[in-house]
Amino acid sequence: MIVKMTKIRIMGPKGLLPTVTDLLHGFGRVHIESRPPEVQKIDEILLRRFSIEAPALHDKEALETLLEQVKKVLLLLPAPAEESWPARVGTPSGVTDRYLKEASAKIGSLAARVDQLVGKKKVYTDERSILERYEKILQVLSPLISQVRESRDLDYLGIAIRIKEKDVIPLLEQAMARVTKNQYEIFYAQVDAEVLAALLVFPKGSYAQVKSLLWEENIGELRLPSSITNKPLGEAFKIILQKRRDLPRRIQAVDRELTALSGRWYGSLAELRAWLENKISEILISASFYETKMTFVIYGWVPSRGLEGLRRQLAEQSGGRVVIDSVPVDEREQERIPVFLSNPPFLRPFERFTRILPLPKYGTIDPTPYIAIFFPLFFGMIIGDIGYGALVLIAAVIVRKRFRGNEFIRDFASIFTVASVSSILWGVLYGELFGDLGERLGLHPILMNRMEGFLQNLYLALAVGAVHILLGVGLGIFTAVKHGDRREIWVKCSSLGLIVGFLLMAAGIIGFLPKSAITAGLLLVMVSVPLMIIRGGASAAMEIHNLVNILSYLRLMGIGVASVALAFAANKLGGLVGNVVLGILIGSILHALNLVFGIISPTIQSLRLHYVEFFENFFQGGGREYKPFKKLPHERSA
Amino acid sequence: MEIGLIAIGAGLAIGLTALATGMAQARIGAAAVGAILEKPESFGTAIILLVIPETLVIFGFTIAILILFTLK
Repeated sequence: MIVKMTKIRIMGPKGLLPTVTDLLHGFGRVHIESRPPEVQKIDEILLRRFSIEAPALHDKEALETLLEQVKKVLLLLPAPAEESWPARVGTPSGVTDRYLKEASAKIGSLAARVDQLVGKKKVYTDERSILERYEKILQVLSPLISQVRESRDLDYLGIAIRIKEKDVIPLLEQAMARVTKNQYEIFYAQVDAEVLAALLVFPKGSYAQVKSLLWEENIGELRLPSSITNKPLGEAFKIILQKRRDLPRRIQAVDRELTALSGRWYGSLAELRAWLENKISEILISASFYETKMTFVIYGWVPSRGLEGLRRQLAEQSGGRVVIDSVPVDEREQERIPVFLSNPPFLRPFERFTRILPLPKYGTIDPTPYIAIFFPLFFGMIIGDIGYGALVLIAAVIVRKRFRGNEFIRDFASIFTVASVSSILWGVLYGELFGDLGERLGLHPILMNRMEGFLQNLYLALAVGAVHILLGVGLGIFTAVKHGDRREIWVKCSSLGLIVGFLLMAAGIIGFLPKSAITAGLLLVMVSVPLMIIRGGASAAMEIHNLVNILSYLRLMGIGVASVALAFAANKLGGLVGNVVLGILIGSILHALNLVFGIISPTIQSLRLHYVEFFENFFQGGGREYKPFKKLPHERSA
Repeated sequence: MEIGLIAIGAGLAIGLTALATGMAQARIGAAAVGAILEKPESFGTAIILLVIPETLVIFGFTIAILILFTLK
């Protein structure tokens, strides 16, 4: 449901503003209104927007600087599990220069240490990855190097060539011949599928020319890490092996120290971050307040049921010097009333589906309870299989347990828990367990066999569609009555007459009702259509679309039959193999595929039936989201 | 012969509507992905727009079933 809101105005002496701001922040249910229309009517000299004073701006800057420091350290520290956070140190209730200075100094030295450790770790991991690359190349080249080193007149350089660029080799050989006057040798050795290592051997006097040749031809010389740059390649290889053994130990040591720092500081820093953000938001929110020479004025919205509590708290904290009164809402302001959806816990997960669309306008209907009833119903109707339903149920329960801390995943797991139970129940009605496997095991349909009773299934889908659309039209009438919109009342009522008329005619034609129902239905249609157009104008004729919308519910049958046909095919193909194990394997793979489609498609189709067909009759989107001024969690005042 | 014609009719009913749905969804899908990239909050509206042409194939499917079961 959409919670009833009251517009409030809080006034008091300026000296009490910090107390009131803190109280509102702690109360956490007031949506501050920064542009109330009544203020625009008042002379600006009398009532003007609150200007944040210099000391507050100074505090804000200091808080923001500290917040940046804290955020940086939190980003660099490994996050421990929240349960293992140490006892919090607590934060002061007010902002003091001394506290900020002390905190900044402490965090500064912590940040320096963390920076140093993270920097070290980066150097080590970079070096490790470079060495990993060079180790392979040097491993291949080192036997060649040891041969070359025996000669005092020869020098050598190593290069790595990508195999896909090996066309460069003949050019390199030509250039080497030119530079060394044919006194050279190149040894090649393949490092892996992508890289070829080459050792260029030449007289000692040609070293500079060969180096400049490589530079001119843009051929990458093997550049060793800085720590072994000046070492000969052979020695470098030994150093690399030694370092490769040492580096993981060093990285581990750094990690241990970072984890220890995190264990000691993370919880306190997270607490401090929340405190800083709360304090900054308290300063910034004052830009939405108003002031006269001596008083402050705050406009906002509060859930009506919370108004008395707020009034009491304000009276207690201010000794009766702060006044709170409810302000009548201007007609033009109706659309600015914040929308706060509040549903019982078992319906709350379905708000996720409501929030996919823009929020409903204030004063209209929150569709969440209806989605909570019809989404599982449609989902179950489409899947309608005990086996698939049970698998979805197991998966949903596991996901719900595993991601208890993640509200988003937990909500969807809850939705699919309900939807899977509905699938199991419809599976019992259809007598389906992994397609026709249930029938082979002696399970019989109670309602219908979906592979045979196509027409029955068709009537069922249309009947469910008619009920859903009629409910939508009913809610449309309710909204129109609530808003006193006479035209809409007439249009929706005649739309209701039109649908009922057609349903009577259809029921009479197929023999569900006596033939007289056809005449009654026809009469109802003949009255409803002209009434709709006379009272609502030509555009009201669009309501006839509701009849087409009912037909749209045939997808409940169509997709359901497609799903059951795939399940039958899975069993049939599994049975055709002739080998029990292989048959079960093939059948299981096909069932798994069907199940994946069987979750995605019914979800989208069920939602579509809500958003397109059902909502069309009553839903008015475009509501303004309720954003209460409230403290972030993890703050505990010292 | 008659059964064959009925089957062809049912096949055409579902096949042609499926093609039409596919063509419509291809265009809507491409535009929807662009819209979502620009404005992620348009995801809900995009999904709705994307599934609207599916009504065509659902109707095709229903007509196919009616052809198969009422003309048999």
